[in-house]
Amino acid sequence: MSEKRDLFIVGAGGLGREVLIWTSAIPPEKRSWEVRGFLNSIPTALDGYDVALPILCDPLDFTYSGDEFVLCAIGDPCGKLRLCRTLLRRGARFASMHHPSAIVSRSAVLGPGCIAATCVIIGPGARIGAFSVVLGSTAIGVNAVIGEGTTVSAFSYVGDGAALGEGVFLGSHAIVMPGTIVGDGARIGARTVVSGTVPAGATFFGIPGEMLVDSASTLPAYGRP
Amino acid sequence: MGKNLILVGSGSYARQVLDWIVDAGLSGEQAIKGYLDSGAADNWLTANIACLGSCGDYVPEKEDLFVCALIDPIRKLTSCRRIRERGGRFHTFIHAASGASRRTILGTGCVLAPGSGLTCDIILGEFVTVQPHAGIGHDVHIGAGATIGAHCLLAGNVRLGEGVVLQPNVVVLPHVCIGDHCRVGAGSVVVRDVAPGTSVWGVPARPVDVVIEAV
Repeated sequence: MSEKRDLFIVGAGGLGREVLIWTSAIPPEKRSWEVRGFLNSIPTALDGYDVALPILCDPLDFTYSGDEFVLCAIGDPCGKLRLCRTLLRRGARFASMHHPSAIVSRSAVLGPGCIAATCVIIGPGARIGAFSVVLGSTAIGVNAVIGEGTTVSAFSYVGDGAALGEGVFLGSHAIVMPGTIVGDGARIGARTVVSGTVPAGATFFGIPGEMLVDSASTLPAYGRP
Repeated sequence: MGKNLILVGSGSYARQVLDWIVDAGLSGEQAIKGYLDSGAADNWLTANIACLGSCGDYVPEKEDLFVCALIDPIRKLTSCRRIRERGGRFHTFIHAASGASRRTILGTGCVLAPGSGLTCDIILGEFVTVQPHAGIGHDVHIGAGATIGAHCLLAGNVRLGEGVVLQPNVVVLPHVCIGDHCRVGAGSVVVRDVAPGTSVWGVPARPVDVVIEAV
């Protein structure tokens, strides 16, 4: 058996620790890689947690040879997209994974750096953009499109033909009705129902979802530091 | 058991059902014969699967086995019933990742999506559609043609009439009765009985003129 490639998890927060557990659910004989550690800007992020793997360094300080894989385990869509694109330019090679319990249609496409968590269901023709994370028990419909760097929280529903832009955040139990267009950087709150068109950068909350008018001033603008 | 599977419906849900069926593996003699046009058109389905005519006009043949691939209850109750009345037989599809447990009675032509969970002593009428991750509690009775959206939760002893639509993520509290042809908007929590033909929406769900629709 050939030597396994090194895999590093970018981000050692809560999502990073979850991703480590999900990778361990994949049987060793089915992996061409082995998780060797985390890349995180805070070296003490794992202190107090029972995690056997080390934090090697800041992902921006790591030298990417192209032989190793990285998985992106950052929840905040804004910072994630900028960081991942920088790492990509520096030669990082992003892997994608879905948990063995996820049901991903053979005709669905997961971009590089995507993660689909436990019991996620992804329909035929769906496209999940690079660096997106789809959390537990979410259902994604036929021909739905998820933009790059989007975070879809647990138990969300993205209906058939809906399209989420880049860097979108869906809270848990968010409901995106079929055919809805959600603009780049929009935020949909927990258990919020949206349909029609959600403008880029907007924050929606409630049933039915209403735009929070002061969101532009209180939330970090998409794509800026 | 018929060996020529026919999807009743041509929308994106029909494509999803086909995907689940093919993934589960057809038995040796089975093949996909085609679909019946329901007005909706999924581009992939119409390009790759044979159209056998419209839902209303098709005359069942000896080896046909139909799969209810419609979401809209009115269409299910007219088209699927018409096919059945002409002698057509329907497949009841239970995805391997669906938990339909003991003493559950499923009507003909039901489709249970992956992640759906049915506990015990449940009765589903014919052509009931249960979407991903929906949970159905004990002693629940669901009328023919109902559609239970993704992530819905029906507590114990709930009654749903014929042709009820629960949009995604609806919670129905114990012992609540929802009358025939009601629509419940996405994300609602239904706390009291709903009269037949009413649309309700919200937390708690209240009568509305129209619930949210897909674009």
